[in-house]
Amino acid sequence: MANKPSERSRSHTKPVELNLIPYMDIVTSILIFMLFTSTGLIQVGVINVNAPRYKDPLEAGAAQRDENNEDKKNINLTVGITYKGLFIAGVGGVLGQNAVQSQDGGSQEKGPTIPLMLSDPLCQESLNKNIPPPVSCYDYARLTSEMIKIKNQYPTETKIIIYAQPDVPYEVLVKVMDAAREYENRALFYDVVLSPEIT
Amino acid sequence: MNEQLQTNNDYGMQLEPERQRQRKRSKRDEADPINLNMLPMMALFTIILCYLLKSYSTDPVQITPTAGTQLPSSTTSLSPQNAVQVALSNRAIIVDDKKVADVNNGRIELSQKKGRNPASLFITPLYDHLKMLAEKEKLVARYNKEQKFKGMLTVIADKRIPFRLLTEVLYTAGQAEFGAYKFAVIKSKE
Repeated sequence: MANKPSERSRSHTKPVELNLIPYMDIVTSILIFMLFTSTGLIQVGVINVNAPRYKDPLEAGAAQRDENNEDKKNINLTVGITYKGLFIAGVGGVLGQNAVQSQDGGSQEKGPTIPLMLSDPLCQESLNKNIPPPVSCYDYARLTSEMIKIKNQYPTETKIIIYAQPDVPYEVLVKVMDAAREYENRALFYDVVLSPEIT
Repeated sequence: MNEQLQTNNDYGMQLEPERQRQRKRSKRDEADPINLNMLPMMALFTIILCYLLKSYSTDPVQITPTAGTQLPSSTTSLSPQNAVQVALSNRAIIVDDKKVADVNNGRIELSQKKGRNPASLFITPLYDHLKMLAEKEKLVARYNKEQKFKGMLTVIADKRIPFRLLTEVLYTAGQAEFGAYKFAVIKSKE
């Protein structure tokens, strides 16, 4: 019932109002803490890699047996990451080496299957000095297209052996595995085996 | 004359508008205190909080790279699994939050290699620690059939470490009966 005009100022029916400020304080504090410490926004995934067939130079005999047990039916697709580019090899030999002319012209050294992209002067410089080139110098798109070609010929093969020179950064290895793993939801070579480094 | 009228007529015609004004003002004051509507903001905060709490709780495996470690990004869709974690950076090798070996500029210190041989792939302190963990996991597996020893190792490596260091760590882990490796990466679309 409405109050009389004289009682209006002394009305007791105040609207019930929750004091939300302490709650807000707590929520804001937790929120800021969580946003800063959270790795929830960064999704961490994993790449499966199998036990490599390493051979320690000091224990060469043990690994020799492993090599003899290798399945002969496999094409043993191998991708090598070197300071000059990517080598793709199989049982029959290294792919596409004849197509690549060596930089010096005169030397007989065979070039990589996929040479570095030399549009960046840094790549050219590292090639000249024979040091690990920046990650962006490798042509991952071409590697994927080569992998698709090989997959078309050997549809059941899933194994890939990857080796690298000692100072090649880990990031390049991950990118090579990415390039060889799948293309537009088509699985290519996802069964990765790391191989001993080459020097 | 006017003065008399004003003073005498307290409830007179001339004072009425002022009173009304006062009343209006007081009404306005009552009706419009500075009243921020917090409810949408509250709703928003609560939703974000719930999301964050959920993402914390549903992740069974927490991979937290050590400070200064930059994980490489990858297009992988696999999620981490519960396994022994080995963190590799350009400064140290850390197994399950315990530092086991020193790394100096991407190279293991010679004193920590087998036979102090730079060509060796065997990192002695890492082997000792991993072997101990493997034995512990096997012991658990012996009494708990559901927890089999899978020899799984999550490698949380900085993207700048050289391949050689990775080779040494994986070789050593292989010797300590860890044969399945999972490289931790940041998932990205490209």
